[in-house]
Amino acid sequence: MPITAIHEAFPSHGRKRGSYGSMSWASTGGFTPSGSPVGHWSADTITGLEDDDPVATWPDQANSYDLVQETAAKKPTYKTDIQNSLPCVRFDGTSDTMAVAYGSTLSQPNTFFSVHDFTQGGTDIIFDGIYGDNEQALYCQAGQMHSRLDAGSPTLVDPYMFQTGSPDLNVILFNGASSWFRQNGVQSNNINPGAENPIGLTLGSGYGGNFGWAQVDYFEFIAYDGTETVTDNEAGLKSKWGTP
Amino acid sequence: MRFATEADGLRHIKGKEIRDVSYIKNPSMKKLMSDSEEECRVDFEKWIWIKRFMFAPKELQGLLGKDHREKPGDKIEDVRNHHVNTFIDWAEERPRRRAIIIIDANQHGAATQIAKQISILGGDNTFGGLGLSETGEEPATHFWCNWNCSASEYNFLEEQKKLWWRVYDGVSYDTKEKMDELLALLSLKRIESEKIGIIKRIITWTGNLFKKSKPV
Repeated sequence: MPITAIHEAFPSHGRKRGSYGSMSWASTGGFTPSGSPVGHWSADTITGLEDDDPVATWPDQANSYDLVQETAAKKPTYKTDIQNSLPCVRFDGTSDTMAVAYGSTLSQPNTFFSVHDFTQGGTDIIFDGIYGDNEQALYCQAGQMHSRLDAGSPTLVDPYMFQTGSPDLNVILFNGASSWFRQNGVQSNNINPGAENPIGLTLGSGYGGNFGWAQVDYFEFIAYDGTETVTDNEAGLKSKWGTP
Repeated sequence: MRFATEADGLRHIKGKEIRDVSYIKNPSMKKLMSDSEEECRVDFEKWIWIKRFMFAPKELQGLLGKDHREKPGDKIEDVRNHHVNTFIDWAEERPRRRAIIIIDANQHGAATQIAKQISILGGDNTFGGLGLSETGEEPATHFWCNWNCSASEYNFLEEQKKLWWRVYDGVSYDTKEKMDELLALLSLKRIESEKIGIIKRIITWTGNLFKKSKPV
């Protein structure tokens, strides 16, 4: 076999990892969040990983609040070409979780934009704070695909349901009795999930990383300390990820 | 020199020129480790070489049993070295595997020490969570984890000969539902946290209320 043929047979040899076709990170539609987010994590900005690699660090594009996981058995998995030819970070619902502490407490009102595909109905926590007394969380209701918000007082957002097999775009405003949940452009009535304020973020499980694991593909998450205009981000994320 | 994992061994030989591939013809080699350091290293290289061909891509499997020595020349040597380096790159990290490890609760410390041989940073938290029990209630009789690992790490985890350490191939249990089926086969259930328990009670109460309010 000539050497050129071998290079074709083994295209990864001699290349920098992560430079394959579906991982061209610079050409993802150019979505930029509005305003000044505290944190912005998008799966298509992860570099240096191939399909099925464990994710140790998910870099923050807004500041330097990188989501991390040091424990090998708890690292989620990087999956390429999952939605609109873009990658995701896959949490296995058994032990995977990532977390980061914000530099300070996010006092209500707080706005979160979350693009995820929740792939299994259980009592699972999609995101949470990092302490039990300082949390703002999004759950799935047991055995169904209903959503629930919790900032100290778990509150069902019936009938807003997660989909399976395609990503949801959720926008959540935690603002005491004026909180709401938005599912693919449809907004709930005001609810009151409590008054707690987060000092960090956990993805894929409850705070502390040792309970409530969710089987979920995570695409993008944006956190704001304040009330953020929904329209621009929602349109940009919808276009980028092809959510309903 | 001994290596804790195959990956360590592969890193050791990566980039080195391996000239003699004739032992590929004899994969029944029994001696894996020798006493002297040099013999140990050589045998380890051979063992790695043979074992890795079992999982290598087709192009590399095509080399199995081949001997290029009758075709001398720099090009052939280059080709072979290219194969070797490509193969080692691949074998070190590919294919990714998934190990579901279930341990006896009273061996948590010892199991953590095994995990820390691979997961040096953060290995203390490998078997975190409330664990498993027959009833789904505390106390835990077992702990577990679901580990996305390299093939060599999987082999290391699987080769632990302990009665209290069991490894299951996670490929067959790629959803939470299937994972719970595996646990059911072992007469185990996840122990839910207090927080989740509260949520479940609220949901049960809400569900009952809903059922009662439905017209008959």
